[in-house]
Amino acid sequence: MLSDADKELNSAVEKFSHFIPSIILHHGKDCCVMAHEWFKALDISFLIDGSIYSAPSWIRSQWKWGGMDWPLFWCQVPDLKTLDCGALAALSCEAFRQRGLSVFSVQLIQRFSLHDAYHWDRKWAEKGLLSNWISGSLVYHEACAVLIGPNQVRVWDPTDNTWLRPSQCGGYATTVAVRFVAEGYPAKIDVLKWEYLVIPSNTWIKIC
Amino acid sequence: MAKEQRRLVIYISGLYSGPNPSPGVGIARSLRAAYPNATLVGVDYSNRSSGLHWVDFDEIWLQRPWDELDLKEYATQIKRILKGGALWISGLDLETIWLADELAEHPNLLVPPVSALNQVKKPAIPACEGMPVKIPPFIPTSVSERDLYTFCRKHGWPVWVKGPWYQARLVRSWREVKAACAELAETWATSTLFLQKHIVGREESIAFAAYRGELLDAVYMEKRDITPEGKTWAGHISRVPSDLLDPLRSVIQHLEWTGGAELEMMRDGEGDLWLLEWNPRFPAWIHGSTIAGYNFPALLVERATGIPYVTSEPQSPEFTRVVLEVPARAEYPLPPLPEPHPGQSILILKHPSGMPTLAKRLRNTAASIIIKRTPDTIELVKKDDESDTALWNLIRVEIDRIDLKLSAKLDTPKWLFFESVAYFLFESMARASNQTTVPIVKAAYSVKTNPDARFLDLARQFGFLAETISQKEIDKAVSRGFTMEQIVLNGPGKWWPDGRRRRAPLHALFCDSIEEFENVLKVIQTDHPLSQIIGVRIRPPQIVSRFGIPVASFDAFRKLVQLVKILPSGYKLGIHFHIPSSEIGLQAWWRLFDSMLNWGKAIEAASGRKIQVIDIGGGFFPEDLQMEIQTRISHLRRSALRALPGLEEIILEPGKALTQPAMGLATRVLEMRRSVSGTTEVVVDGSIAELPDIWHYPHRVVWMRPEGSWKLLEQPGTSRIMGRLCMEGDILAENINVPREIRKGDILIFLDSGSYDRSMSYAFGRG
Repeated sequence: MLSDADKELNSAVEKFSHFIPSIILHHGKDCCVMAHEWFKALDISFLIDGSIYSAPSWIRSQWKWGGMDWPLFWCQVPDLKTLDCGALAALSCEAFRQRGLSVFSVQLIQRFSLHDAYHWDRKWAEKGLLSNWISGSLVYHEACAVLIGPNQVRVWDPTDNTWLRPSQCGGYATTVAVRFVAEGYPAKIDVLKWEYLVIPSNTWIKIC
Repeated sequence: MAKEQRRLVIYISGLYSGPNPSPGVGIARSLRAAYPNATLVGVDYSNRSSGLHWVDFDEIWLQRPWDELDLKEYATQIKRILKGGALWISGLDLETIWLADELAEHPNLLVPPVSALNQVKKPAIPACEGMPVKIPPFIPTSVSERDLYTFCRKHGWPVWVKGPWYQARLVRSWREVKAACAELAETWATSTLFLQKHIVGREESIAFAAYRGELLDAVYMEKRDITPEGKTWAGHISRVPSDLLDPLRSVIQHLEWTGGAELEMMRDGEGDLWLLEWNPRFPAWIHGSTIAGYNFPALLVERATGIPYVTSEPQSPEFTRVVLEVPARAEYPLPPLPEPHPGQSILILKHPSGMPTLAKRLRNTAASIIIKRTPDTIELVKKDDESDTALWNLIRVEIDRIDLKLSAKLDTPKWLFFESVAYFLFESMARASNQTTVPIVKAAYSVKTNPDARFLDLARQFGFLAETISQKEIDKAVSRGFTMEQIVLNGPGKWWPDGRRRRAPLHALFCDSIEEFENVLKVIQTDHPLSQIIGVRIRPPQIVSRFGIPVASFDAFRKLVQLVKILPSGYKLGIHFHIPSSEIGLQAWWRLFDSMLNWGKAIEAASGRKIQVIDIGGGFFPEDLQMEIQTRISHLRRSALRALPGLEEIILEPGKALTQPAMGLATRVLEMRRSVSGTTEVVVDGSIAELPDIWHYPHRVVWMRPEGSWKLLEQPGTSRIMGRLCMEGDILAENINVPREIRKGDILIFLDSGSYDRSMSYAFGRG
């Protein structure tokens, strides 16, 4: 017998299963070249302790979180004031990637409250945007996984400016399901280790 | 069991429960949960200690402050208590040391033995050998100021100034180092301080309980919230990973540890753990561990007494603090706030536990062996390097040459020029930068550093370019024989004072803003070539600077790229960044260099235009130029060429490194003021008007003895040298050792003053 929470999660997983990780498009012209190069140079400037594994926390101080129109091209990025979690995650992955690290997009489902969901729904509606990333008290979220050892990843959440940990299970603002998208990685990676969790790639996994 | 528990009497010290709390209240809460019928006695040394009023204490044993206590009598009383069967858990580091020393491993005293305390003394923490942790580099402040400054530059700002037990100050300049050392030395009445490298990372801790070398249990705590002082406010508890736990168990066994402890660590971006402190007591958050199901105070008491404790279910792996108001005990009424000391605008109550006072008292006891202990292993600053020694030997020869007969008549304050030192500096720079393959390296001399004709002549003699910031500086360089093709012009006011006078083209011109770049492009397209190389100064995003184009702004970057695209093809494109390595640290300077190369790459990719020239530098410390930059020029060239394949020329402008050691200011002693405490104040006829850079880095001071020999004044000491001005800030040296033989009329020479001290000196107090 499934609990209401399980049923809600199953429903959310089904709803978000066709979501693909956000990517920033490139016009293939000077406009995007300039923005992309600026972003890369800026990221290197902020490697304060010199470690390529340092979180690109500067991204969140450059852009606020909020709703935005998609698709997103590189040439739009610098002039936008607000980016959503998908754009922030895509930028973070790009920062780590250009430092020479292997990265994976991470899709998450996080639990908040219905009260929060109503607020977000209204804010998105005010901008004429779809709030299809909300499913009851569960929301779709994106982050970026960085390979730090053989199949071992850390997960950077640029929206909250924090390294996500799988250990917090249940409760407000915690991750309840996750999908690591390892497509496109040069070598085949079937499973990824996120601390003590072993997670098959490209599959939604309930972790809580 | 209840009966056994009733027999249990446990003394717990360290009750302060403010923003920087001691663990007493947390220990009591944990023990109350485990031993509901035990008698818990709270011990503290101030009636201002808030934990006195915590409800879990059955009794309070309030002591007079440490400076009033008769330590022998107090030890006797505690011995009697322990003999009566009570246990003692200390929550204060220094009390732990004193008890370990005074009561030598009494079975009811749950503190580590002295031998173990010796092994966990910071900063070296020799006990951690074999554990997968690193110790951040450190240096005791007892070494010379130059060595301390070298440490700061090598590891970069900020660095920590740390006291022997508590307190640390994060400092970002030499002036702040001096101020923090003075403050901590006064608080702790000791010169046993040290500087330690700042590690960027996440704060994590291990807490454990052990009994006679047996590890009872340990937990890992990751901070989830911290106070402004960096103290834990909330945390997440988990098991200690086995790669840490196993070696920790061996260490504890080796140390024969008894009691609680906390290992404070930092995990850096690479995932490495740095051990900052090993506290010989439970941490103040110890009840957070109990909430997570690991009651270490209870475990310790159970192991020591054999009396089983009441276990409780884990409540949560996470804990947080909240601010609580509790009723104050009627028998310990809260004293009114004391009046501020005269001159204090606000009242600051510090150290209610009285640890600084105890530290002062223990300096004369056996426990001082631990307190005063000098670090075992120090990452020593590279000393006596060949070039450093060569430089110092030349300075010595120059001082030897000073004619004392002449010095008696010397019209002080008087600048002394050390010709052989200057020659050595320019010659070695020329030798190091002598690269014949592309990209060639051209050394440049910054005229503003010191426009003395003797330096300019050396620069020209060794083939340097002259870097200028105004039309007047160009005139000066030309007057010393530089051609326009040997002159670089940069800075925000480069056309001052007479606009763009038509001259032959410069070697290079670097624009300081978008607006200037636009104007320069107009001029060269319609009027006059101005320079063979046209470039821009980049303002690094991570550095606070007023100079250059702020490329962190995309708007500025976009305009820059658009302008680069219209630079006529006959001109070479350059970028320029000058940041003093002495102000940001050498590691940061090299990272900044890499970052600048990346900006060059970005400009190339976005504009389609190759960067052909880079101009780097901005002020190296002399030893850094010799040891760090000149020896790595090949690396510098390779890195630059890899990033910018079209690079043809690197202009290297080392700034003050070429002049700083090559001049000294001779001053004469006007007055000696000696106090009974042995402190001496020397007043000289020099001042901050002649030495305006005196507080930015250490200056060596030489005393010319009347009979002809000379002596380098040592540091640290207790005296100071004051300038002639009637200005509060006119202090030229502090914490210096002034020999008693110094007399009025003697000469003191302030070395290392050949750059901005000289060039920025001003006339003041001369009528």
